[in-house]
Amino acid sequence: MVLTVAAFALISAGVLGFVYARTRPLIEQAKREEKGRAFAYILPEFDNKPLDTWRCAEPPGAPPGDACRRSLYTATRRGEVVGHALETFSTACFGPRVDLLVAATPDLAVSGVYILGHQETPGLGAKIVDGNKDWKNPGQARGKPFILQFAGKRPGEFDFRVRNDGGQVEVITASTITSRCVAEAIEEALRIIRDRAAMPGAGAPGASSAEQGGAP
Amino acid sequence: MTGLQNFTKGLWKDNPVLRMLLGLCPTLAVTTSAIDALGMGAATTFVLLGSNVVISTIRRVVPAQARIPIFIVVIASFVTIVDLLLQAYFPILARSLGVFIPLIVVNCIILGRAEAFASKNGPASSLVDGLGMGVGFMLALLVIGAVREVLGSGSIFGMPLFPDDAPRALVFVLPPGAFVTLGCILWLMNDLDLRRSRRV
Repeated sequence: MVLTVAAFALISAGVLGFVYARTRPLIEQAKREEKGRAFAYILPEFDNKPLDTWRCAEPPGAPPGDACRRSLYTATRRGEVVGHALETFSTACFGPRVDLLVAATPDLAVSGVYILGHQETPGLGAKIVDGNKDWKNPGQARGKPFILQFAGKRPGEFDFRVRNDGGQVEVITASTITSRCVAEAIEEALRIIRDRAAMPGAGAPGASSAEQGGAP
Repeated sequence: MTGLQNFTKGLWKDNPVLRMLLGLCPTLAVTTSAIDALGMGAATTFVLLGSNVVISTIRRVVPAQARIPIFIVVIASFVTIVDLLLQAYFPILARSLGVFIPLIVVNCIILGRAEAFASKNGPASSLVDGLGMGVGFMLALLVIGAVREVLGSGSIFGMPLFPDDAPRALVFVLPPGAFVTLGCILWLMNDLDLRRSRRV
């Protein structure tokens, strides 16, 4: 009996390993392509390849580890820096984790936010993805997407706390926790961009990637 | 029971959601829009087909005491496969269904059909049974999802039906709306059946 169960577990493990190995590159590719497309939605117009400007951007005091959990990409146009995008995440949401790209102009005004992955409740917290592609023409967005309210907002001028906590962020109905964590993640991202983008090599892709170690 | 009856029983007489009230977690949770409901129904149908066929094929080699763990291994494998395939080929749908795809593994319809049907019947009729149950599940989700999306978001399959400033009943997108919609559909179905049996 034990042998039968073990045999089925082994067969299943083999099949899953096969499917995983076959879909892994496709899933990675889909994620990378999505990131590449997202830059066009959320960054001011650029003529370089932001994906190639990868730099690690862990904030000071982050737990040490091998993997780089936050990445900074820089967009340039005719050699001038036009914006930065931070790939970051939050674990304070309703689901276990939300991954997002936060883009800002060099003077730290939000130019766009793109949710790369989340496990929020469909129909409720999942509404954070609405409007992700509408930053360049917000008039086309249907309804009033939550995320678009951050357009042009700057830390210091805008209170990134939700209304319920005395801030200025309008929440998604019945999804205060999700709204709060996304707003906090955006504010934190702007702080990291401010600290990081000013560092040497901000406009020169690849110039300072040795500083944190690690590879893209 | 003929093959056709074997298929159609899942659509009305033994509909997993509307008759047996099984699998209510995804039914209530992912029916906020018609497209999510359809995607969830299709993913569940795939798992149900796969697990029914495999379980009915192996039913003679599975020891009775160990059948539940083995069934769960089979079901969980199909769920993981569907999760990976969705992420690879339909990343947008995978993103909007999120955690409910992995949760298909605990959908009682699937283990229920494995126990009640696939472990006692051959692969061919188990396939038909799985297809009928899966399509019945998908249709039930689609009806609930369509009603909730039209009333709650004013759109169908993401296409707006009313002007942007038209009022909409937000409650239908929220959890209570799922219960209300499901209750009304059950009422309609029972009423229809009652009328039909009176006529006969």
